[in-house]
Amino acid sequence: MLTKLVKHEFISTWKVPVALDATLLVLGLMAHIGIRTLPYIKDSIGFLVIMFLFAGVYYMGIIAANIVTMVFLVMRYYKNLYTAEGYLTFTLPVSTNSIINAKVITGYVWALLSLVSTLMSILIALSGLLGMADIPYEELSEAADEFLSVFGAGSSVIIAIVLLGLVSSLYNVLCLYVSVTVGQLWEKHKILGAVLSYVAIYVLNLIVSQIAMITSGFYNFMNDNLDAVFSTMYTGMLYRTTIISGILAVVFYVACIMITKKKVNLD
Amino acid sequence: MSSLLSVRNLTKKYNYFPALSNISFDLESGRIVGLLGPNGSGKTTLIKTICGLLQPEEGGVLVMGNPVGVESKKVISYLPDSTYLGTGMTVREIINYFKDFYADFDEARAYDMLAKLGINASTRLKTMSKGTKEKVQLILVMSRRARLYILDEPIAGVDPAARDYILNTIISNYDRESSILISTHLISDVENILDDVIFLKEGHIVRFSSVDEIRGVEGKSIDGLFREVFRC
Repeated sequence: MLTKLVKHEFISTWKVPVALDATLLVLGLMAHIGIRTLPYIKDSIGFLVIMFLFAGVYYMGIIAANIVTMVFLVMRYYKNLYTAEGYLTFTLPVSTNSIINAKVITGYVWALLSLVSTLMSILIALSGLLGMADIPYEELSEAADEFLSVFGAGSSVIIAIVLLGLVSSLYNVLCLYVSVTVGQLWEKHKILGAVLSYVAIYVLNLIVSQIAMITSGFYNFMNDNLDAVFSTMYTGMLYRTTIISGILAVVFYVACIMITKKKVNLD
Repeated sequence: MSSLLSVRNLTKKYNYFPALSNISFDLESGRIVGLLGPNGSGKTTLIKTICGLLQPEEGGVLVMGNPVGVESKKVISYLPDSTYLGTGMTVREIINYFKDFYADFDEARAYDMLAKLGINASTRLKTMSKGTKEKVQLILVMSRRARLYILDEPIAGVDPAARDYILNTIISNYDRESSILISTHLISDVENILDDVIFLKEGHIVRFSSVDEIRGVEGKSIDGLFREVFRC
């Protein structure tokens, strides 16, 4: 039954995330063309105006596409479970676990695709710098090497970043879902309850993150230990953030299942 | 032999206010039972609790011996009192959805009923009138070969001609081994199809009788008795 739920969930949801991901790629392409055009603009003021315009539109576009994807996912979760549509969802002959699992799986896939599309979009945009007459390839290569030497170019950093991306996408989806689920415990103003739950979880996460930063010695490094290898600290911080996000994601998932099983009340 | 539906000591509260108070009754196979009561008497709360959409504070429900869960949902076909289908879907997509999840869904019966009503399966729900949407929902619910049909206000908000169609659809499509629990306050429209009635008042069952008993022994119509019991 989980397979069927997931299938129908993808059928019902694919249009919006795919359109947004395609938009991200188109924005990347437009930024690429924009960057390529810059050397041909001789007027310095015009150059600056167009550069800021491109950067602003591109930045806002990326942020908006990612936010809209998450808003779409959370609205789908709310509507499909806690409005009249829930009368059908919760009377299907499937377990509550399967219902939540199907939502988490599809939400996670769309969140990951959004992340991948964002990264691809940035790569497409930055690839506009390659081969530009004014910026030799060697200079770009040197800049990249310098950047990687600071943040660590080893495979451990790359693995840490990939793991963080995988886990934080799941965390983001479950954070939204658990907020909606907790909001349903309110007798009235359930949407307000969901928003306040999200804010509370966000603040809690900030506190936990700060505690992790302090215990990891990150601030000591910032103040006293300037000679330490930044990449080592950076990698450690990435792993800690990943572990905390992973633990919170599991807590959110269990909370979603338990609350939905024990407390679902579709008035 | 266990009952088709067994409700035991069911209590459901909203903000400490009891919507259902210690309700108990059994429902056997092959009966059409009217769940009757004025607005706010607890009809929808009782139905939603049986369907697993509300969690009771006390008591429980057994459907063919199973508590509310996957097994009970396999045999209950539920029609809520509002539009519950994704409006962006076409009728065909919704039929495929039902076919995927309900082993007892009779696709041919659904398409047959749609054809009789002249409803195009390619039409999206959001382009349909409220009455047509309600007919589509009823077709889907009655196209299942379920053991227990639970219909919440199936004729409220539709014109008298549509009411006749809906009642006729209910009568002609349910299996005689199955039972129907039908909630309404439009008693005169449904009383001719009922075998039993449950009168619900302020969360309590005040009467559970067969229609024959009310008519034969007391010489009253269901509508007449309802007006007597629920006189303001």
